[in-house]
Amino acid sequence: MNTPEHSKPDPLDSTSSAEFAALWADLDARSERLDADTLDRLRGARRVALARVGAKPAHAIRSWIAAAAFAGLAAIMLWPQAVTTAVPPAPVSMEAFGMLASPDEVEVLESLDFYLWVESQAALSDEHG
Amino acid sequence: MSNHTAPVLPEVWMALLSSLTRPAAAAPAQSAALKRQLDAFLQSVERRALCMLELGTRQREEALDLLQDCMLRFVDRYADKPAADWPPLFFRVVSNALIDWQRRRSVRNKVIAIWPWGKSSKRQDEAQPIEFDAPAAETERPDSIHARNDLMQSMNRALAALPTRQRQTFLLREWQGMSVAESALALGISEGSIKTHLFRAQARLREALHEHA
Repeated sequence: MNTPEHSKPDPLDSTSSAEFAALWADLDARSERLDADTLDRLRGARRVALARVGAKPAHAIRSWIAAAAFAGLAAIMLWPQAVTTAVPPAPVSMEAFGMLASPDEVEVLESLDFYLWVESQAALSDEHG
Repeated sequence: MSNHTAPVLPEVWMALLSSLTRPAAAAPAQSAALKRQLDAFLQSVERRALCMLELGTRQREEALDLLQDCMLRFVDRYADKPAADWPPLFFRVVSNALIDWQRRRSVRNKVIAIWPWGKSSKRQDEAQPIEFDAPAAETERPDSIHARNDLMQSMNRALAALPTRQRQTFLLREWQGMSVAESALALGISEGSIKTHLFRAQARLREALHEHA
């Protein structure tokens, strides 16, 4: 008869209680047989730990208030940096803007030396008539 | 005409502010009951937890200090959890504390090893034999007592020498009787890893057992 897969024992998950029974018995005996000093230390540790039961809610409220205060302080410190009061740029002169906008005007500016030379030659020819 | 629209907002804010600033009104009866429950639980696990810590640290004093820290952490973090979850959560705190202790000790030993004045100091993580003398029955013969003690010393040494995860898995699954799921929660590893660690721990301890046979 085939055993269904889900009921087959997992070889990696077998506890070996019988094999190590002596070890468990000795560990049990060891943990039970504690000296008076150790037992006192254990009682003291429990007492200190249990004293903290019930102390958490007030601590949580103080933490909440501290967190809110910190968030408010961070907002106050970071807020001025987020709002930049930039000086608006000086308005561009419409004349200058208009002068630079036209492609013809740009060509004139690029050939300005040539046109100045032509004008000087025309002036010379007028003088010598 | 009376003003029915009296300002409600300031009263709401005042009530909220007073509820935030006054101490939390903890129910005394609930707190006392929780303390009793926690006390009973800690008493039920403290001895085995001490034994586990002692196997990991090889020192009773260190183990006691760690156990105190574990109890404090457990109460701080998990006291409000359901009581059925306390065992794996407590042993999770214990396992993490042991691993943290071993890491600190490892770093400390490395520093001591390279420090010129530290070479003469004894390394505290060297395997120290855990002295254990099992109580003898009145009718037991001395030679059998001696043989049994030898065997137990050998087993304890083998148990202490296991890697921490394997030892913790072995103790939680076999000694504490936790399920695979609880052990996985306690150690913060997968259930598959629990099975693997248990298998390897059993194999190593069987070797120690058969060597003595």
